[in-house]
Amino acid sequence: MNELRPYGRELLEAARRERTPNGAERARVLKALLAAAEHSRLAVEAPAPSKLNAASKIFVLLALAALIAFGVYMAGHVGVPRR
Amino acid sequence: MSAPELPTSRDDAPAGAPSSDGYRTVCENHVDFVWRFAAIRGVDSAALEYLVRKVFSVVHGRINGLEEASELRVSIAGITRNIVRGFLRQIGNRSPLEPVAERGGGGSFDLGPVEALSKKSPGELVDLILTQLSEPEREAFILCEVEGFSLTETAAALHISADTLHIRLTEARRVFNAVSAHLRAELFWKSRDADGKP
Repeated sequence: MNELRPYGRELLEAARRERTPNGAERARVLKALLAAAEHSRLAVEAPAPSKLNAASKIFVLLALAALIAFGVYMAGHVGVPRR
Repeated sequence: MSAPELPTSRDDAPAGAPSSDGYRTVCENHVDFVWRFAAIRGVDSAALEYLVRKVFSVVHGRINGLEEASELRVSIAGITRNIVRGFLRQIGNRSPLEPVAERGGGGSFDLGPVEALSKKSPGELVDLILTQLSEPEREAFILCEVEGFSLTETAAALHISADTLHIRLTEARRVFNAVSAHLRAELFWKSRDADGKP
C-alpha cells in the first residue's frame, strides 16, 4: 500500500493539533456530558408514577362508556325539529 | 439546536449501564477523538459541541463498562461516523458518497488563488485537500492517518471488508499526496515571488 509523503504527513499532524479541542472546550464539553449522564441517572432512579387500582380503572371505563352513550344520544336528537 | 437527550426511561436504559466513574473515563478518553473527527470531517465549529453530546448520548446507551479498550474505541468510532454523516447530510452538504468527478490522476487541482492559500492554516489546507476525496475515502483516511487506527480497527468501525478499505485508503493516499504536492509547489512559487527572486 502507498504511504503519505513527508510534507503531507507534517501538514496532517499540524491539522490534527489544530482540530483538537483546547483545554477550555474540553472541560466545558466534559462537564456537559457528565451533567447529562447524572440527569439521566436521576430520572431512571426516580419512583415510578402510581398506577390506578382496579376499582378506579372500572370507574374510568364506566365514565367513558356513559360519555359515549350520551354523545350518541345527543347526536341522534339534537337538531330534529319538533312536530 | 436542542441538546441531545440521554435515555431517561427504564426501558431505554441499557441493561448494564456504566458506572459514573466508568462513563467519566470513557468521556475523558474519547472526547478529543470525537471532536476532532467531526471537525476534520467538516462539521462547523459552532455545531461541534452539540455533535459530541449527541455521540456520547448514544455511547451511554450502548456501553456496559465491560468492553475492551480497543473494542470500545472501534465502537465509538462507528457511532461517531454515523452521527457525523447524518448531520452533514441533514444540513445539506454535497452528497459525498459520489467521488469527486473532476479530480485528476496527479494533474492539476483547482485549489483557488495562491494568495488565499498562503493565508490558510494547516487545518484549512487539509480541509481543502480532503474535498478532493469521496466521503467513504475521507472517513477511512481520517481514522487511519489522523487517528492512527489499525487497518482491522478501521474496517470494523466502518463496517467494510479489508479489501474495500485497502482500495479506499490507497486511493485517498494517492490523492492526498498529489494534492499536497501541488499545494506545496504553489506555496513555494508564491514565497519565491514574494522574495523577489527571478
